[in-house]
Amino acid sequence: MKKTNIRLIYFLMLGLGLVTFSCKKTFLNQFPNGVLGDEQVATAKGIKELLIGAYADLDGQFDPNNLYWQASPDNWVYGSICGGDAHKGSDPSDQADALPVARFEALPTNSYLVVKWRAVYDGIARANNVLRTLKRVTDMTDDQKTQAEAEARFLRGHYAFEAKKMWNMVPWVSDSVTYVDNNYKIPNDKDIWPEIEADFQFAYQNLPPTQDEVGRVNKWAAGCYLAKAYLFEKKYPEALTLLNAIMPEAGGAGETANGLKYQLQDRYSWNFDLAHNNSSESVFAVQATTNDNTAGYNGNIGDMLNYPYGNGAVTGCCGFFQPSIELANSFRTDASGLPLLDGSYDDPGKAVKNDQGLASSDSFTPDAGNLDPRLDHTVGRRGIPYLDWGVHPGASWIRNQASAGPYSPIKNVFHKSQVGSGGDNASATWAPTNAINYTLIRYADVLLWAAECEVQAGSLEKARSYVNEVRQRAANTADFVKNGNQNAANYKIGLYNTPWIDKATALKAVQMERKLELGMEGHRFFDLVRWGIADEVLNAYFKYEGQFTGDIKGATFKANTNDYFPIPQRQIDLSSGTLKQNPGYN
Amino acid sequence: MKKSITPFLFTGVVCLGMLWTSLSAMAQKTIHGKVVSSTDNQVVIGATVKEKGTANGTVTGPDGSFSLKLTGNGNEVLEVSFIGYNPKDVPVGNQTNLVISLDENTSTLNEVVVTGYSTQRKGDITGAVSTVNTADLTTIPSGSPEQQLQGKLSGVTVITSGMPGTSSQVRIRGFGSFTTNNPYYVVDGVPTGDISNISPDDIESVSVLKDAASASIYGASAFSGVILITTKKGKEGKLSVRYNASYGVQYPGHGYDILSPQQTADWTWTAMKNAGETPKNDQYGTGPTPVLPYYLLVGDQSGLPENTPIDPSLYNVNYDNGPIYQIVKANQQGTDWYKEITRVAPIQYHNLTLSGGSESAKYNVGLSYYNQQGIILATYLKRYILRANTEFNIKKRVKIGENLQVSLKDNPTLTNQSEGNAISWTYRENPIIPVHDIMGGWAGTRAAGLNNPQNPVANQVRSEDNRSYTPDIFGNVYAEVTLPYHINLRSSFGGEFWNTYYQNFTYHQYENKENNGSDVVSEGASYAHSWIWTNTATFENHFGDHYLKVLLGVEAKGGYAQNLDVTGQNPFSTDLTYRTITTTSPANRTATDGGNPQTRFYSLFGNVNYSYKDKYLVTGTLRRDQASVFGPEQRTGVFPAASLGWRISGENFMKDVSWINDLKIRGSWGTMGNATAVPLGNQFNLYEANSRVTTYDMTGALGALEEGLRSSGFAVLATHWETNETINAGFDATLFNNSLNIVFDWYKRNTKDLLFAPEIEATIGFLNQYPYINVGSMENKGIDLQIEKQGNFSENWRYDIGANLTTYKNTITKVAEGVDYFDGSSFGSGRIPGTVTRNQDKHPISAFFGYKVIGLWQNQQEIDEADAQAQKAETPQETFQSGGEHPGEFRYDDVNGDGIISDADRTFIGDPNPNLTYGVNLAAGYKNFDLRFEFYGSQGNDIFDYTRWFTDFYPSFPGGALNARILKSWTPENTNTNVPVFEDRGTFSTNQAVNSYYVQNGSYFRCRNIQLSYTFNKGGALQKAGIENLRLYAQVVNPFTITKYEGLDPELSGNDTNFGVDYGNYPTVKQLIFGLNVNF
Repeated sequence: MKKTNIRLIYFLMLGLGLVTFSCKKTFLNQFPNGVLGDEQVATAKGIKELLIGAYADLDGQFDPNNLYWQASPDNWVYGSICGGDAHKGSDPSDQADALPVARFEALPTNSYLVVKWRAVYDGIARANNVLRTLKRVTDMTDDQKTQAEAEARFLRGHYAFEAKKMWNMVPWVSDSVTYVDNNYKIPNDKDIWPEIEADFQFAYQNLPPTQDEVGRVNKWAAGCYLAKAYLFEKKYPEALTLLNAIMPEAGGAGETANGLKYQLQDRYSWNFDLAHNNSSESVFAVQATTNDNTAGYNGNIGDMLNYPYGNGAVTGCCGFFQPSIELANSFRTDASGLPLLDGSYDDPGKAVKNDQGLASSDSFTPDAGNLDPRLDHTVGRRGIPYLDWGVHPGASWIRNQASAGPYSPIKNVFHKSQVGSGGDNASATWAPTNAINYTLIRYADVLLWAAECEVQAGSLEKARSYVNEVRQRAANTADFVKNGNQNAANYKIGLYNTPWIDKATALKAVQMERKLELGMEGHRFFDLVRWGIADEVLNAYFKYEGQFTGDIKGATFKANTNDYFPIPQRQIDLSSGTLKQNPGYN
Repeated sequence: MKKSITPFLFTGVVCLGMLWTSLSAMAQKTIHGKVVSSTDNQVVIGATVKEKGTANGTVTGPDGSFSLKLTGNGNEVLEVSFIGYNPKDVPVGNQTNLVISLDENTSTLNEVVVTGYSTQRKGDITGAVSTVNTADLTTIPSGSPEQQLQGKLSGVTVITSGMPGTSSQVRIRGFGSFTTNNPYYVVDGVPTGDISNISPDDIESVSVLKDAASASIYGASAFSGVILITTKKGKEGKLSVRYNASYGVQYPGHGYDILSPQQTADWTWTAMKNAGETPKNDQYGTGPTPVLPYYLLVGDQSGLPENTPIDPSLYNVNYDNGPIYQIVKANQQGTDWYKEITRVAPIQYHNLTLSGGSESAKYNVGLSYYNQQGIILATYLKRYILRANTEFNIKKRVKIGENLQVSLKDNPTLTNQSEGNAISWTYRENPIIPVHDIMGGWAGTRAAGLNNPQNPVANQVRSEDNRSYTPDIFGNVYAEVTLPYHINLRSSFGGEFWNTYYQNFTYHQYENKENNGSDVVSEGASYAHSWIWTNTATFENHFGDHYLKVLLGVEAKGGYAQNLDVTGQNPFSTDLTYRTITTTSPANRTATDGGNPQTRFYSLFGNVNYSYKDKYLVTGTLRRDQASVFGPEQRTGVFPAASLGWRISGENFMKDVSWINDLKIRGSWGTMGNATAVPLGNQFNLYEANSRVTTYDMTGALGALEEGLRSSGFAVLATHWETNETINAGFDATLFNNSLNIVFDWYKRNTKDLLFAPEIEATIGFLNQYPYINVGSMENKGIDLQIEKQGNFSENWRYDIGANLTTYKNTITKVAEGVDYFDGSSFGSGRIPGTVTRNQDKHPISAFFGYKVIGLWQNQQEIDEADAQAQKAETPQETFQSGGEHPGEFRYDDVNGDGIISDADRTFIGDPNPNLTYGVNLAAGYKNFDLRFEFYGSQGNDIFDYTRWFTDFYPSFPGGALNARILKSWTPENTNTNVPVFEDRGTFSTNQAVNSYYVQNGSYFRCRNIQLSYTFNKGGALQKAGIENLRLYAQVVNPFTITKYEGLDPELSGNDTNFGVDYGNYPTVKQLIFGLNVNF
């Protein structure tokens, strides 16, 4: 009996022992669901989708758990608001962090800058993911690989350009940088223009002139972006040579990815109408779409706050991005329909009449003077039909007039008739989105670069013809905002019919034209900085505009510091000090 | 995987099978007997029966019987002993069949305490273990046992809210991890993440294993301590029927102290004047003094007088019928929004327990129904629980049993701690807004000038039909075999299985400024199961003065979880019976799912307990865990622990100290591990498709998205267990004729290799889940103290006093290489720029970080001086504080003394961690009456009152409600105040900085319970009615709270690196309850 029991215990031990060693290896090998591993993506299909992923960051939405208006591709905060085109809008405390940015008081901890930085570097990382994975792919031809590489490098160039124009001294992240290799702490001690140029150059040389899909970058878009880089670097001759190879006006072969020869659309306003996405004027656009079951993330969601506010308005939310009084004034034209290049448009008597301080129930008659018709495609103002949403009622569509003035944004807003078919007013979220592409480079922009380069080259007449081309299109009476059959205001726009007398005047005219043509499109601040006039223009703006609105009252632009934004403190901290702050910020 | 688990299963079955066959081997007998308890005649299982003076002995079997072959000298005396009973010597004489009756030992030292995979006599415990029994646990009715633990146990901090069905933050000895500090709950041997589904009346005992010596047998899971719950088992004897019921009402109490409409208007004028503006408002006009409107809204017109012509025929609140047209009268008396969203809500609880058993089968069946209506409309918890625990004895040496619980929970809640929940709207929605418009529709901020809050009553009423059901099955089956040589084998297979289904409906509102743009149906389900298989072998015996217990075990666990969520918009009709996902518009339907296998663990463990003469106690524990979440080289963790105890009172020199009944000092050391937060993918480079952020409309065809990919994880193979090392020293004393018990512990716990997924520099791209790596270290130290005194004042008077105290001091000793802090998330929409909490080296976890207010600027001269200084500073600044300052605004502390206020001047401005928490129970009884008081307190914790941002500063959403605090705001005449000037200026010096104005003392002292009960005399009329026992009681739960905190409730939870912030919290409420306990 005893023996039996002892044997039993041995068996027992053995049993426990068996359990110990039996199921070790495979039992503990687990792989998560719903994700792919390294090997699965190193294929032609993987590359295709990684590349789409890199495009998908163009809209600034990189985190499925957050909506990031801070990283909107149209740079409405950094490009337009900081450039004096617009106010932050809404109540001062709503999205309060945008206000110090607008006032050039942003601390390095400002959340807007943090998000923008993350967004552009995520874009770079996604592009690098394509480039890195390409090296492991075996089922693609060399041509296919080159094509993918060219697209990825174009996108990387774009994201890096964004970083460059925001912060100037930024780290260049190549595709050899990975977390696993622990080489991601990169100093920002070098100018990265050469790398950006190289990426665009590669894309320009290797991309086809047209693409099967209109959203893809083509040779000419890459060329234009390269020209833009040259312009920012003040390499005007290089830019001009390149532009001449592109612009049909100069005998170039430029066309859109869908094979439309580059040219301005008939109507200025079509550039801001989703029915005219990907037109002949769309050099490179961020594709926007709605009603696609992604809760608005693929629309131009970066502008979700930028709608009139209040009942009967487009939507209940949110009253941001209000055009400045100063911008509206700029659209004053003289008897020959030309802008007031001397800046006198802000003078009392010339400034555009507005309803600041008036309630919607108070009576108001809109300005009766000469106005550039682009005003009412750029600025929503009282008494003028606001797309097809009815006549703008003034204060009742404005969230806080005292803080941010009387105007509403309009270029990013969809038509009432488009609700449900691209205008997503019935979104589940609290603010709408729509399918109006943000055109990163629109052909009018290219024409004005060329004009600028020609001015620099001394060919003032060529410059004038490019500017006039832009103005000619704006003068299309069919595109004037109408109240019934009548023009909604006294639109008067003319061409520069007399040659510009000198380079300075010409430059002034080109610069003014950019302000008017591209107002509220996110370019202004970066233009002012590259022209070296941000200090003068913005301080005058603050002084003028501060008379009317509380938000930017007393703000100042500090020359040599505020040309670039402070590098996010968190990134400096995370870099263990590898990153250095921009001068003037501590 | 399937293949690999088979040998495991097979082995277990074989083991049990082999043991089974051994049973018949035990047949030799000389004398037989049975050991029973003298109190209830129940059999005593596992009692030691020994022939005195020899090593010859045995233990009683599952039926209490034993047989022993005696040595045969004719004068044998049996020495019978069992923990919990006084040992007894029984002369055998010529008897061959004895019934030995043991007297229960009343000393608490003999209580049996459930410990890891085992039980121990309380007196033998050398680790830090707290226990609470069901009677003490159930003094306060609650949907969740977690809430009932509050204040009952030293070393355990429970933070909860008043929301029915809420889960509570339970912390054992503070925080040891950046990731999760949830205790490891083990119910009848089966781990679960959530004990809120257990009916308190089904609980037999709760043990909390606090130090490594007691908990490290759970190794990698024991990191934050272990809470062991044992449910009630049947006892041999006749059927006992127990019915407990309570019914009561809950009172919402008062909401925030909000200004009346007239005051709100007056202060709106003040705010604008203080900012140098000409006052005007869409509701109050433009005059020198504000005028309250008669109508807030008529069509598109706002702020209208009484004589406004109105045309109710234009009224329309249905989008299908054209533009919205509402007519809303101002509520000049003011709407008390808190009152409107709350109600006096009933709460009831019923439990019926049937238990009993025979020698061969025992059962305990409990049926519970709990229905707590929330004080806030449309929140409640309804729950049904069936628990059936049974056990069968087969052939005397084999026990097979099961513990099973089936529950169904219906629990609509609101999102707690959110600026957009019903509670938050009560401090944000202007009181001039009525609940309804003149036609009975909802009123709200649609009228101009009232900003964007929402009508919370409308939201709550509309959500009344939201559904959320969770059936849950939880339990285990087990087999136990008693072998010769004092060996006991046990195999238990258990698990949990649950399935939530919900349907929520969000209306296309019309009454607010910012309405939901659509009717939205959200529907979804989640499913999960988990399993655990544990096999243990135990050897336990006394050898003369020596006692030895050895436990060896092997365990494996795993599981799976999956969820599916779908939303759709704009069904044809919003009728409850019509709105389903199928009937929503196909255009904006989205479906997402997710789910993963649960981390698999494979573990071996052993534990040795040795004592000599009951005086010298030693234990040693070793556990080896392997977890699937780590890279192949890092999967194994070994967690040892050891402890020593010395019962001084057992020494001869203490024999004469009569007031000391028992005194034991003990000390322990050990390690425990943690891998909870690490996801399965941590060891791989991963890529994912995400329709929101990786798709692109490449063809420009509107709506034709193409799928893309992004990186979603980076492989880290070096990540390994987070481990902590705990040392614990303490004593247990029983004094004054067993009437006073003191348990004291001091501990220090160092965590190293803290697991954390720190944000990585943006240059590598963005990930939603950064890799978990081992980063910093953290220290916790503190004391636990528990004191109980009970006795009689006189014959009819009795008392019972208990107090416990918990302290922890948490210090982060390292965050990560090259990084010395990380911030908590910004709450909600991050209204105040920056984050509120910071986790930094040498500071406690989740500390508040911002600018320290050293006062208010009293005059322009002060400001000018500071500005002048700032302009001369090394980094000159136009003004001392960026954006400038005005009298009455905050003046910040220039911490670094550089003459300007910058980011660098932010400092630690508060700590949400309490210095101590404590519970006090006082009970007194006279004859049949018992009166009981329970108190709970938290001392030294700070609160960041985010609600002030909305209510104390005009420019934060002007037009909303204002807190009465602003009546005390700074004016040139009223300078002795800390409430800043009320003005229409939103700057860094007012509402645009995280500063110490929001930080409040969160200490509180709460009376948790006052209960008066009457227990009827046994016998007599009761007996005639067949009632054994009857007790009636009345109680007030949470009758009062003493605190300086001005918010609704100082008790605030949150996640562990980001808590103590008040952002609209469901308050704990007062309840009046009547109940009865009856036994048949």
